[in-house]
Amino acid sequence: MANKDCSCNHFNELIDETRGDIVCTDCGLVLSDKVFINYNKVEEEKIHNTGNEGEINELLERLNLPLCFSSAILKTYEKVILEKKTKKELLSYTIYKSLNDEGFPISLNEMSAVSGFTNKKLYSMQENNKAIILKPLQLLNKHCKTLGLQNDDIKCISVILPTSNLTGHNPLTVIGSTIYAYLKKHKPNQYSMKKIAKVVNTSCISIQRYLKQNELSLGV
Amino acid sequence: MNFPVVSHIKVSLKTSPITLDNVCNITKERNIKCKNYNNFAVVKAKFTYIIFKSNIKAKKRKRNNHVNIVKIYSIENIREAVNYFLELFHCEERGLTIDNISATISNYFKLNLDEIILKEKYKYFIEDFLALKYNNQVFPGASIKFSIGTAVLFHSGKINLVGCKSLNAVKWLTKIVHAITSMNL
Repeated sequence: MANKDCSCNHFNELIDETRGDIVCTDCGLVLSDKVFINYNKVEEEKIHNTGNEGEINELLERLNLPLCFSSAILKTYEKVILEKKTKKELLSYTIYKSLNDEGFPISLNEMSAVSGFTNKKLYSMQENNKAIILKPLQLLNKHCKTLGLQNDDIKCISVILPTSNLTGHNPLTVIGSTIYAYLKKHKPNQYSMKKIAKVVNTSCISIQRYLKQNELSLGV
Repeated sequence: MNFPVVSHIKVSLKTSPITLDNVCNITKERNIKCKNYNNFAVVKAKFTYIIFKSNIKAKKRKRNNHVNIVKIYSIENIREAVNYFLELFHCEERGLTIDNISATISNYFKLNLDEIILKEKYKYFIEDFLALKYNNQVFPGASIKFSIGTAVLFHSGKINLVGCKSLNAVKWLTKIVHAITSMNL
């Protein structure tokens, strides 16, 4: 609160963000004690200012991945833009491709869920001379943690998980089927097939088909 | 080595001018299925014929009708399909080209596509190799494009050959594919 008797003109002010005060640096008087700063606006401005990098960071945050990948993804995207016409789904596809190349694979379903583009649109961006192979073992840990399984269970599941995909099934189906087969044998009634299929982003029918074809190998 | 089995052939035929109205009248008389669209007509007999309108702006001598013949299942049937058309619509042949031959190879062993692609075995055929596209989350087959045709490989061991223009191309592509897949064993 300003003091009427103070002779200082209070030209030099300092905003104390921790307490929300405005203090005169000449006389030390607290001029105002109700200061509110909108930090969200500041962060939004930063993101908008960087353009493509901002979009990449946003998508990485939605995927719960660290932002250290953004510079590599941005470089790849800038090269691709020169070769191809820009399409909205190109950035999302570049993120998906770059993460797979860097050794931190994500599935097309995850990218589709986060970006809002369908699998078909993202796949149409794939170059004619490009192969993206997703191995079941790379995503097993993530899905098991989401289900809340213990480390011992994860190790046992990784042992029975097929090392090479000779059936042609979607890798997510292979993961879901292996988890289901293990839990059915060792911890029945813990999770339903429907729950596992939802977490792994596949369908119950796919899991059933896979289990029917691979009963012996999974020990079901 | 398993030999390829030709599954489908598509042929393009150039003929002397025929009007689509004429086509409809003749097929009606002979009780043959015919459906007329804006710029083309589809005639379904033993083989299927897609007859396009002739180019009216072209000079009389160069005015041809373009006909696509599909549902031909062997090389021997091509001549039969063409002759049937020429006799039915009383026109003369002015050109014939094979657009596409599709064939399948059934191997009795499974293929490890991940290994084939990661080890880049198809790149041994650098002169013929053009492109490879594979995403195991979207489509279970890997399509490898060569200058003479495309091979689509599946985990079950079955291989589809598409885009070949001649039987020799099919045979050569078969050899390439067998060389790639036998390195897998």
